[in-house]
Amino acid sequence: MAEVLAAAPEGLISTLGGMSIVYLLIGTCLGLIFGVLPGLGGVTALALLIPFSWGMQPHQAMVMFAGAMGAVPFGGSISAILLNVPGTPPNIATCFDGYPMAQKGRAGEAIGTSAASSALGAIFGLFILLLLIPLVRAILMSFGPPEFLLMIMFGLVTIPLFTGRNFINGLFAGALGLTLALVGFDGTSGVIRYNFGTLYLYDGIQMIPVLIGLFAIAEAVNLVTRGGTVAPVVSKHKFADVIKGVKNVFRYKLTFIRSSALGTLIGIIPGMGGVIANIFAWVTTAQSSPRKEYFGTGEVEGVVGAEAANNSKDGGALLPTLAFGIPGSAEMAVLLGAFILHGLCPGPQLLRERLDITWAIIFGLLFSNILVALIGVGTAQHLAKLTAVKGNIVAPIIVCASLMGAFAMRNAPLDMLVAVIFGFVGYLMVRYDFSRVTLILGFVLGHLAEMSFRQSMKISDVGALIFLQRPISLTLIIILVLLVLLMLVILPMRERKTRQGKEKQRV
Amino acid sequence: MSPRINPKFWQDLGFCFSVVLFIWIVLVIALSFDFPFRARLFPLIIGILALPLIIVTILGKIFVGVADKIKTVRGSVLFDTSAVQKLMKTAEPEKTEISYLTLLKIALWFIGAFVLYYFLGYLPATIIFLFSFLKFDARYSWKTCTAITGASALVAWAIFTVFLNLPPIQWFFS
Repeated sequence: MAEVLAAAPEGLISTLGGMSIVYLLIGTCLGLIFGVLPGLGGVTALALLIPFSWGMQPHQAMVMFAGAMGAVPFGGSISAILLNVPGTPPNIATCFDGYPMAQKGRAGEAIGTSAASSALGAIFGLFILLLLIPLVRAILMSFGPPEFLLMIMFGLVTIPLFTGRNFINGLFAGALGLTLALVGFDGTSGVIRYNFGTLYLYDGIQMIPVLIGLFAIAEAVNLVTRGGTVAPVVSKHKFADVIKGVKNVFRYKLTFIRSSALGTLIGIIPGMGGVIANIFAWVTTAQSSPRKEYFGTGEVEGVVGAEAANNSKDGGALLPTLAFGIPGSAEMAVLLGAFILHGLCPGPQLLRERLDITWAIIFGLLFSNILVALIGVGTAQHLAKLTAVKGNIVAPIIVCASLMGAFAMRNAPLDMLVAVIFGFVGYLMVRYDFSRVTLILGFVLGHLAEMSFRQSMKISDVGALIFLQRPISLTLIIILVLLVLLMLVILPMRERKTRQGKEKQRV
Repeated sequence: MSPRINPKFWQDLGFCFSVVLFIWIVLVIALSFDFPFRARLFPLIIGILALPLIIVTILGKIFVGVADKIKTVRGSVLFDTSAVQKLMKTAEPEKTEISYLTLLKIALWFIGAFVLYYFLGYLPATIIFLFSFLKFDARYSWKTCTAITGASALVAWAIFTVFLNLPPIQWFFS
């Protein structure tokens, strides 16, 4: 713990010193706007920011990303409260009570409550992260190549388990990501794989155009196909109500603590992400409240529960991302790509040698959450008007920014074409229930997975049986098998029985 | 429910997409045999594991009953969502239907943008693409198109030329 804390001052200087504070502000403002605009969200913001971070120091880039990540959830809650449209999917439960509050003329109170719950929830999550880092560092010491390979596989299985409706498509997306990572020159064997005779693919498929395509251009395609605007009437509010809203968090402190703890825990589990944290916290809050019958009609406690969990999950999601390189959410998957782009290797190396980066992200998220709460409550009314902008205006601007971003990285024009192709792939993946996050995880960690596989085979005297001989890898295999069985056999069977039972009752 | 054939499965965009993914996996497996053992093993294992998954997906597109069987609802895995289902319906955006033609039209716009960027450099390409998209696809007024294009071009110039030192006009990216 002492070693972790010793790196804190350096991290603080990295976050607030020099140009970092400017990048933090840029990230926060962009995150707030992308959060408010339904359909965009944190992943698109990060995908668009990555190419522009190329010339920055790694800590400056991470501070900017943290700024965007921290601001998005609160931005999303503004549209959820004022328009009944969640700015990002993890704000969905905020609509349940936030919008009815706005309809009753309590929009300011709801926004104030959301701002305070968001900021304090994030602080709670980051505090838990800090407590867990030393513990995870100790666990990581006992990890070898077989364990790392299985951790990657664990991520590839758990993410589709919790993020998509179609588990098989989700698993396939992970495998697809792994195969895409194999394209290009293989340094170990000296062979060029799957380049189809083109020189462009010699270095493999580049990560940035893939990220930009899958997340930013795919959203642009979606905006054009959907058309229209998403904005109904914007409710007005007074600043005094906002202060009243802030006080609500302290009024419902037990709800706040329970929801924040739930959010952090859910964030730690790879792939479960914000939607589940947000809804789960809202349901738990509703069930444990003496006023449960009023939930869904404008109960402020519902906003406290939903938003505290939504923001605390970021602290939890950072843990598997930083420690194992397994992203806890979609944003973390893109962040993982940014890590690799800036020469940082998530995992033991990052937690051992680059604690300053870990701290820069933690402080970045912390200040961003506080900043966005201050900026957001003052500007919520105006920000909500942004949603009146039509999709067919936003989409071509996103396409231009995406193409330029893809090109700017290496001055390679074909990177733009890759971004466009993956834009359509990403759009179709969303439409047909293939998890984009799993694809990115497979793609980003493909090289590490193959390297770990080769190293495992090399150190093994018993071939593939090495995975069964080591206690940690054996445990991971057992959990993986149980999860797959649960998902493919037990749960569908239970659902079938429930359905049959309901049909019998109807008859 | 016994599986029955979807009579127009080939018209489903999802079916075509799954077939493309299937072809990619077959290619991964087939081409891996050209590599030495060390470079072949991992892609071969991944390809073999992925193949049945995409076959099941394709079968799900052809046979309606199979599609129902392979779908799992994530909400029910963790907790009873029936209480929030009604509320979620009011807040979740609906999925719109999309035809091949619409998607093709968007694809042509975006590929057109790429061609412009490729041949003209970012500043002329941004101006031409944005203006023509807003005018001819989105059908905004001349004034709106000019204002949005002008503002976007200005921001692009500030970021790319001033901040990233990218030349605004670069014929053929030579």
